[in-house]
Amino acid sequence: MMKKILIVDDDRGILLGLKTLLGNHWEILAAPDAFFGIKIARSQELDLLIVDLFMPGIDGVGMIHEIRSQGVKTPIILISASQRLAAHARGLGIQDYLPKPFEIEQLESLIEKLLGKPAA
Amino acid sequence: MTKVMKQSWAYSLVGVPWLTEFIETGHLPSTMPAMTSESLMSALIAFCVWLLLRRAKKEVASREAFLSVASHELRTPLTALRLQVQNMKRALVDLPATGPNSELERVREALDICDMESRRLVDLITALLDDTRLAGGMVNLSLEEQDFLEIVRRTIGRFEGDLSRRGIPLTLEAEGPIMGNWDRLCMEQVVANILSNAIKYGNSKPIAVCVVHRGKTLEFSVTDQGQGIDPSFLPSLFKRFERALHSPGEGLGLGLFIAKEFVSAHGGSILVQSKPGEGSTFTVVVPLNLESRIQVA
Repeated sequence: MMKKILIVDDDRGILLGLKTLLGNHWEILAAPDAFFGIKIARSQELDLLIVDLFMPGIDGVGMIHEIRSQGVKTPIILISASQRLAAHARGLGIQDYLPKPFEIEQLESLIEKLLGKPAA
Repeated sequence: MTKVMKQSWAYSLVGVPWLTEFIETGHLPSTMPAMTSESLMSALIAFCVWLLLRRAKKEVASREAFLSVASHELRTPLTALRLQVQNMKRALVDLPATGPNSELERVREALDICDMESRRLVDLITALLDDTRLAGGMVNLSLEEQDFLEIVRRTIGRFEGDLSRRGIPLTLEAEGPIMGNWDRLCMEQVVANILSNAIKYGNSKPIAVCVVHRGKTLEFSVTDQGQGIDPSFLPSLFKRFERALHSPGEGLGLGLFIAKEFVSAHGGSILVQSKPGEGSTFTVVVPLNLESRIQVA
């Protein structure tokens, strides 16, 4: 069975791009903001979360705080346009971070590090 | 008045300690000394200098703030653009090869150009943002325990497409893991900037990357067999915008400057050996931990 990844990013181009590129190997769920992200993370068994840092409303940090406080222990990769903030967010209980812009191979290698190689 | 005008700047300020304090802080002392016409003139000059300095500082700060915000704002659409280009390239890989002048081949070529140019844009924006941080004195390192070899492998992975497109063989000689405390993003940038220069100026000949652990330090070197560097150019090699001034169109000339600043922030240094026509070796020497800083001439 395919492992399930939730991607939370307010940029439609990034959300659609990641959904298509990663969709061959993993089951991808997409949320356009943290509010929907929290809702999905609470209601479904997920294998990985990919969360953007800057989002309108609740930002990535707020979302991570919220789901961690509710006992969700799913690994998280934080992506951000701010290299510094992404690195400092390490203390939030995330597993890894990736500054934007990134190459898809970089993200795939982080995912494989956390979830293992996808089934062919 | 004439006497005061004849005095040098330094002389007019020496002996009037509160003036230098005023220029630096903008505050006057609570008790002012009695003023002669000379010190009054010096005070006027000092006030003008202070006004100019304040304005210059403001201008520099606002320029840096603009560059920083602009760079951040550019990163998001650029990420979407890169992902979509990669998406299309992967979709085309699965299609069967057709004739050299077919529509599909033309789309493939156009896409390769989009890929190359958008990647170039990423490099330029990254360099601009790094330079802004350095100019603003904002190199706050986020030190984490890392395997340097992993940083090198990860960064080489980013250049795989470029290397295979140009047909450049790259060898990695390393003993690993080499654990130490580094800022991952800074070190990735250092490796990337040195490696991209070897690719750019290496005449498509083999590149050798070597990572060695020596006591409390590590040595990371990249050797190319390209055009080498003119000895007269070596003293200014690590200066800002050097390449842009000497060879317009080849980038901003920030790569080596940024690499040197990031390495210095980790307590290390970069050495270069080069012979025109034979190639260059760039060697980064950094301590495994910032506490055990090394002294390199």
